Parts: sequence; structure tokens; C-alpha cells
Amino acid sequence: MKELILFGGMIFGSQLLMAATVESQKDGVEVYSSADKSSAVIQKLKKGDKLSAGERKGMYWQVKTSSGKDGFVNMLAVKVKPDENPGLVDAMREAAKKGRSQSAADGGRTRSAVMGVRGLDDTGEVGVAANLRPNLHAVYRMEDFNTFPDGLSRQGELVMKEVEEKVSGLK
Amino acid sequence: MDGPSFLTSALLASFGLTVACSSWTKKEATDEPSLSKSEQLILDEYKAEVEVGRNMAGRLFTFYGEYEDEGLKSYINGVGDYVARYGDYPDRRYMFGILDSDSVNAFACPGGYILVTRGVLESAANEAEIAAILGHEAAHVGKKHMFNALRAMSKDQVAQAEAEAAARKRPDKYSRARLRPVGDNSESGSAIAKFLTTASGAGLGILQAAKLGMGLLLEKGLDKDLEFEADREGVKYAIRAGYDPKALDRFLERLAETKKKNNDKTVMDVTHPSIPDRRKVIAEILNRMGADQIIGAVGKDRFETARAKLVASGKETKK
Repeated sequence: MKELILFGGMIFGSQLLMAATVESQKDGVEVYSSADKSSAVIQKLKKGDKLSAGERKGMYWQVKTSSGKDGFVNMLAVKVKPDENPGLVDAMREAAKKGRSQSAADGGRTRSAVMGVRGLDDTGEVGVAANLRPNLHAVYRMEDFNTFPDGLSRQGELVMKEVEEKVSGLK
Repeated sequence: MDGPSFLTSALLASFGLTVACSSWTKKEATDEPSLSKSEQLILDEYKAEVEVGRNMAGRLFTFYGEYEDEGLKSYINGVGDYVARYGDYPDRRYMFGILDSDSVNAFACPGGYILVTRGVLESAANEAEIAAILGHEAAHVGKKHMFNALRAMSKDQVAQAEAEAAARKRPDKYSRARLRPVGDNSESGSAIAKFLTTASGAGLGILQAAKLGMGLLLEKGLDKDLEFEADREGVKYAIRAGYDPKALDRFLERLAETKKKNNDKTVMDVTHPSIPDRRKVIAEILNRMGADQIIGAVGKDRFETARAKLVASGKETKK
């Protein structure tokens, strides 16, 4: 079934679009027939109503209405949630951890062998890069760095707050 | 054959996997019972991507050095992960690191390893520009541009790239890094390598693939169309995430001016299409998404706070 949903997402609007859901933030959010608030209202949403998201167009999200029509909602009236799969991402994280080279972990080298390439022109010596020993410690530190879900939603709130302030400043 | 099974098969075919790898997939399927077949396939291929990407990212760290600023790293990971979730592949894993180089560039390695140079962070004016740059790299990862480019190599291309690499001599300053990695002879290593069968049918080892990948990253570059696609996608992801739509265009415009003024040439000039061509492609996607009507976040204060240490350390690029 998941594959069918994915396939459905691919043909939405005849182009590959984001796999996401928009959720109405209040009662009475209007779904317009085009990305323009003077266009016809084709559906009104209640708080918590969810629709499949398409693409951004101006200050609107393209959506698929409950009756299957393409419509547009103001981006500030909805919350967008990408259709994630935390189980798969967690499995990827675990698989990467299991596959780490023990010899590299035991190697004891904790800093880069070359301490920075200075100057803007770095084209001259790039050919040697493929033959250098990889600094896996630095890579493992990248892998161990987690961005937690609450951190992501906080980032989203900061971004949307700035947009809302800009829009209200224009009114 | 039912619908989902057919689609799974189609997915397999599109990945160009060899018959040999399917037995490994089957064996591994029992390891993650919570995953569907298609998810298991993604996970199995991810293991191969990780091995190659890890080696490539590690070599970039060795070559350029790592810029260690935990606060800035945390910020980059926060912005990068956020914008990548608005991409077409939110189910992928994205990890971000900083290279200690003045050069303005960013790299995407298979498996989700995304590295930006200190030069990028010094040159950017705000968070929206960083978001679009990271979005560009996230698109390379999500669409497996590098991994697929390696698998598309012909036997002759592989042989030529290896001969070129073997002919290179290391300058003395790299002597501390002269130890070459040992080959991966583990059972998992050989199983993973089966995912790296090229178009010509030749098998690529993990280290071999990583070395060839470095050649693409630093010398030859990916196909121009893939770079244009990453530009379009990066802008798209940043817009979806709520950022100022014209951020990447402004960054490139400023970069072109700086390059013209300083007459400098960097890896990015060799591996990417020209900035004017990239800006044309960006203009098209901006027009399609109604960018003139979009009010987006810029995040200048957040960005300045995050890079305060970098600026204070006196490393900011002279403009």
C-alpha cells in the first residue's frame, strides 16, 4: 500500500511532488481554486483537517481536496508535515553504526592529518585527496550527531514566526 | 503479481541491482522485521552507500581538515536536517560537517554525508542562503547522483580513472596522511560491493568506488544536468521550508562578483556549471513557483549568532 501512496504522490499534478500533509490550524481555512485569494473557494477546512500537500506556489500550498480536486491553501493557515518514516531512518543509523571499521576506531588518530587547506585556490593538489587515508573519526562524529525531532520543529517555528512577522508588517 | 509487488520489482529494476545482490537482500530481510520489503531494499542499498560515502567524507576531512566548532556544527545540522525534511526524500539520513577550507564549496557523498567549507559559512549572508546550499546537497544525496554516477561508469572509464589516480604523487606536506586505507575483506564488505556493479557489469570494491568518487567530487564533477537539477531542487526545498526564495541566486551572484574581483579559481569552478548558467536555471524554478509573491524567512540574526565564533576568530574571508 505504501508503494501505491508513493506512486500516487508521483503523479499528483503530473510531477514529482513532496510527500507531505498539510493540517489546518483553525476552522474556516479556505481552499481556493488557484493560488489567489480572489479565486473561487472550493472547500472550507476545520481545525485539524488534513490534506495531501503538493507544491508551493507563491504564498500557497497546492493540495488535493477531499473530493479529489486540486486546490490551494494559504501557507500561514496550515502546518506542513513531511511524511517521514522514523523507523527506516533509525534502521539506517543502526546499520551505519554496525558497519563501522573496528580498526579505524582503535587507530587512535583523533585529528585530521592535514590541518586545513589555506588559500582560495585549492585546485592544484586535489588529485592526491583520493589516495589519502580517510579520517573516519571525523566521519563517526558526524554520524553520532543527532538532530532530535523537537529541534526540527523548533527550527520550523522560528522560520514560520519570521515569515508571519514579515507578512503582518506588510498589512 | 499484485500491485505493490510489481512496484517493488520495478523499483529493483530501476536501481539496476544485480541478481547477485538479491540473495543478500533476502538474507538481511530477516534482520529488520519491522520494515517492509521496499524499505528493506532501501536499507540494504544504504549500507553500500554508507561504506562508499564514509570513505569519501573521511578523505575530504583528511585533505581539507575538520573545522571544529560544536555550536556551528549543531546549527548547520539543525538547518540542514530541517530543509532536507522538505525535500522529496525525507526518509533518507542527512549528516552535516564543516571542512576547514577558505574555498567556497560543498560536497555530498553517498549515504548522506554533506560537507560545507568554512568558506561557504564566511561568504553566506544569512540562514536562507545556507538552507538553499544544503538543500542543493541534500538533493544530490536523495537522488543518489554520485552513487548512480559511479554505477554508470564503463570499464574503460574505471580503468582510466584508476590509472590517473595511481600516477599522482603526494606533495611532502601530506606525508602524515600517506597511509592508505586497508582493503575491506569482510563478509559484509564483499556483500555490499555487489551493489556496486557498474553498467558494464564490472564489480567495484568499496575503496575503489570511494576513490573514483573523489575524482568526480574534486576534479571532474557530476554531469552538468545533475548540478542543475540539484540547484532546482535545493531552491524548491528551501521555499517549501519557508525561506526567502531568492537566497541561492543572491549567494551565487555575490560569489561571481567576488571571483571576478579576485580572479580566483577553485574546485567548484571546475566541477560545476558556470554561475550564469546556474542562475538561469534557478530563475526558471523561481518563476514556476511564483517566487515574486513569496515572503520568506532570511534568518540573518540566527546565522550571525551561530557563526560569531568563526567571525571572531578572524577567519572571515577578506572581501
